[in-house]
Amino acid sequence: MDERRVALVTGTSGGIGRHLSEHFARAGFLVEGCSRRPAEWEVDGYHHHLVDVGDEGQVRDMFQSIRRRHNRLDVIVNNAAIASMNHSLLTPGSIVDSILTTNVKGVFLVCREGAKLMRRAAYGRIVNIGTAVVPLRIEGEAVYAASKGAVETLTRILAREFAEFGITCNVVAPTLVETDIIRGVPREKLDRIVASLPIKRLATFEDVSNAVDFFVRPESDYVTGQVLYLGGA
Amino acid sequence: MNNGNTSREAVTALVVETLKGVDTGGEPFGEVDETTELLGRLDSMGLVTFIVDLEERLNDDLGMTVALATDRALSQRQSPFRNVATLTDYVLQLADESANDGRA
Repeated sequence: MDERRVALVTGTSGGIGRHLSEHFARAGFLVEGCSRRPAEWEVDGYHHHLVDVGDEGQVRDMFQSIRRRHNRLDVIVNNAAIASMNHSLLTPGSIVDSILTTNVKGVFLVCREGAKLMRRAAYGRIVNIGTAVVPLRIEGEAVYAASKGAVETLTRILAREFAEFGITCNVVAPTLVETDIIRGVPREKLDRIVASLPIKRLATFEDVSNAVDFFVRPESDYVTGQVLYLGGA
Repeated sequence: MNNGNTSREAVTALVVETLKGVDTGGEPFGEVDETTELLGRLDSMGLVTFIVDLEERLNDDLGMTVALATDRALSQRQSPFRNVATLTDYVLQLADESANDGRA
């Protein structure tokens, strides 16, 4: 069996997930990725799963596949998320259900199944992608921000539960990144958000991978339950 | 894949073997048979570890894909995790249901 380290990244059809997958592959990891759609890109060492992270059966099947092929998992980055930016008065309950299912239940299920596999080696690094929208409290993002606030709390408690298995669990919370998820946000609003930040620009993919790298390093075994907001948010 | 016909003896043996490998947080189990109690003997983390280990071994050794920590198991007044025999019955019941659903 291949002795290379294995990383799982969720939400890899594009954006941050694709960048992180390529980043880990370049660093010598075998990369397992998933999304509801096929990945329309390729990189050596990458294996794609068609998975809805909010579906417990699909998540279990994906981890069974990873366990059978690699029997190890070193890193998880929970990146899969959906957003719907709209005023609360115009947000249907079905959208709330979808956001919470993917952004909260999905993270929980992947952490749970991942920790089962990681505990075999008494080692693991889990990084959940949050958002600086939580402290920025941006209008129109109530449900998305609430779901990511839940991810922060989930992470802090999982950090305690998983500590005895040698697994750390942290959050990287970027400011807005140029991805599909903010495609619907008007430029004027983006400019206002950026103007309110100490560092006046959007986050880049490299900003995210740099912070993820810190949490993932073996030397970061004394860093857990932390939320790192980028850009000074 | 399991077809719902795994023998009770095989499941019992796997439960016993898995239990022997778990850190009880106290005195070791020593002799283990169908009457050996789980709740009360395992501390909370010992029980968590045991359940996760058993799910994996059922899958690896017997080809059974079962989730032991179901809503039903956690809410039953008579916990299926009382002793080796009740847990074995519960595993077989889940396997039967899973086979009937066409997933096992």
